[in-house]
Amino acid sequence: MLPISRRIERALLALLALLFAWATAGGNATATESLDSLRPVVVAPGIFVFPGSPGAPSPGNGGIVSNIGVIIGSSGVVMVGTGTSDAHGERLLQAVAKLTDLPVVLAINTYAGPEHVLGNTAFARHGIPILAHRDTDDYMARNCENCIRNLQSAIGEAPLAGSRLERSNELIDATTSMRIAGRQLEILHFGATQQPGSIAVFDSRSGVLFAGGMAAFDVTPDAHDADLPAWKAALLEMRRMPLRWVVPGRGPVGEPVRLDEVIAYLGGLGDATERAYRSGVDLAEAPRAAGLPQFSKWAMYAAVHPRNVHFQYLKLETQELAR
Amino acid sequence: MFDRRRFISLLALVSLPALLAALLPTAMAVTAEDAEANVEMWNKVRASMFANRQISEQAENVITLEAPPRAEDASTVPISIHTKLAQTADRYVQKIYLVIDNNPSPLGAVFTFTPDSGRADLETRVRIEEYTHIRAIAELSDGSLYMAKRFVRGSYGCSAPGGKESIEAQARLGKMKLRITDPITLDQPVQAQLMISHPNNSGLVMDQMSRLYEPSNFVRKIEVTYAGKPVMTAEVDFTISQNPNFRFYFLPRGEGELKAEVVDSRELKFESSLAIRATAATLQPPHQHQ
Repeated sequence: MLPISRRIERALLALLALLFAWATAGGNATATESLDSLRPVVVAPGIFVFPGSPGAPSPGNGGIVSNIGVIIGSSGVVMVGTGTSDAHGERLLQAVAKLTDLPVVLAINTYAGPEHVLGNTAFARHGIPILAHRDTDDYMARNCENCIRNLQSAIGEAPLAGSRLERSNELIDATTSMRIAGRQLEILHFGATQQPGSIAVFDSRSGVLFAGGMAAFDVTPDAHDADLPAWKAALLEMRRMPLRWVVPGRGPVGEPVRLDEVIAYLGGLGDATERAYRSGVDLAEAPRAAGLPQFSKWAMYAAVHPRNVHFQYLKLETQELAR
Repeated sequence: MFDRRRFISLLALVSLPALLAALLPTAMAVTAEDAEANVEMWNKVRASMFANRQISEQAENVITLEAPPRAEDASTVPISIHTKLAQTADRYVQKIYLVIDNNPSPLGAVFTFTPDSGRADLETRVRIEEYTHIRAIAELSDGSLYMAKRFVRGSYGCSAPGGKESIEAQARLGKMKLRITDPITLDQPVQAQLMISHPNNSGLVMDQMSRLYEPSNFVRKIEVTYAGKPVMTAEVDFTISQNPNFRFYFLPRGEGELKAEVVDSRELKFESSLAIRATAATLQPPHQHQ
């Protein structure tokens, strides 16, 4: 029998997990509203997450749909993601200042999503360098005007006041090890996966992996720019790493085994789309024909899965034209 | 307790729209979609193309149009047009005009069919610039006009204009796939698919990095013949999405060659063909020639 303290600890952990699951459950309006994107969730000593809402960007959630990571070392703070807007970036910095007196020394854009990079302006104003893979920076430069327009139509113009694209200013081209803020971080690039420049951040001391756009738990991942086989291979490689916790880009913090759910979804998406394509189903019908009911409980399934199928189908066509 | 004032205001609230509706001619009845739609643009297009000719919107026995109410990707919105007439020589769908009200070039395509088309159905993908009506107007061989329409809400796709895909499409410029998926039966309409590798640039999209506009370069004409007779001709522009893709029908009355000739806005010509020969029971497409 476990000692009392261990049992209490386990019960508390279970309760916390339940609370988090409840707070981030998709499709539950009251739960979504009660989720405080500026109340940090503790992942490990010195590691926190400001949780994003699991639903679609809306006026209710202010478009704050991406988890923002905080890594506090002995001499400073590294942030994973900068938020949805200039104002959100500023609020995140204020919230971090309540956690520690140490300065934020680096922000990392792990992928090019407006909910993850539009806070860059706030960080730049405070002189904080912003790191990204070169392909993410390029992608942002090409797309962010459209992304801002899209986000405006989803959440309104007011929350995005003063928001514009601030480019990253520390570019990497491949996996990079860095000693920063008194911690050892591995910035992992697995090639073009979810997006060409998607990266993950691994803190070896705590075993926490910030998987960025490459993982989403209980939320349908956005695969519209994805190379599915490469993405799956990256997730399998993550599974072989000594991970303790995975912080996905969206959804609750989970154990590494939960990456298998993402792997299963990507496999299902690829297979179902290819089956529809080979059987002569047209582009309009493909999203229906390639439904994956086993994942339909995930948040955003109805909006994101058909879109994922659409883009994978076009990819198959392009491949056929290239042959 | 009965609240008389509240009742009267309620009554006013309920009856006012009804009263207004009764006073306005039905043609001006405003739906939520019409409010968002650019009816003025349609009126202009209508006047310039069809003058005073009557266009029947009681069209479900002639033509229907399918399009997603909300587009997954505004740069590639699949549409399908179905017609209900047998393409007999005495009465058939001769042309289908595709109008997208709120696009920079509202008349996006004119398709021409013949009795040799077998069926004047068509599937393709279009770009939409903003929320818009898409209209398919069938012109029959007797000159009558029928219109089907759909309202589509699209979001500006976050996909890169002038990105990697456009460069790849340019590199494979004019490469085509012409194919038939189902077994062929003589004298039965057969569906064929034509895929054309082409960036189909409008010239209206600015590269957000270079701040330059990509030069316009798009497929402008497609002529498909079977055994030398036209089955589908399309005059199109950049309304059609990158890598233009069409599904259409033809009526094989015997062996022949299905041939597609494509001309782009720079007068480059591309060609693809498919020989169809008789076997014991059916006709078969053996392989494609480019």
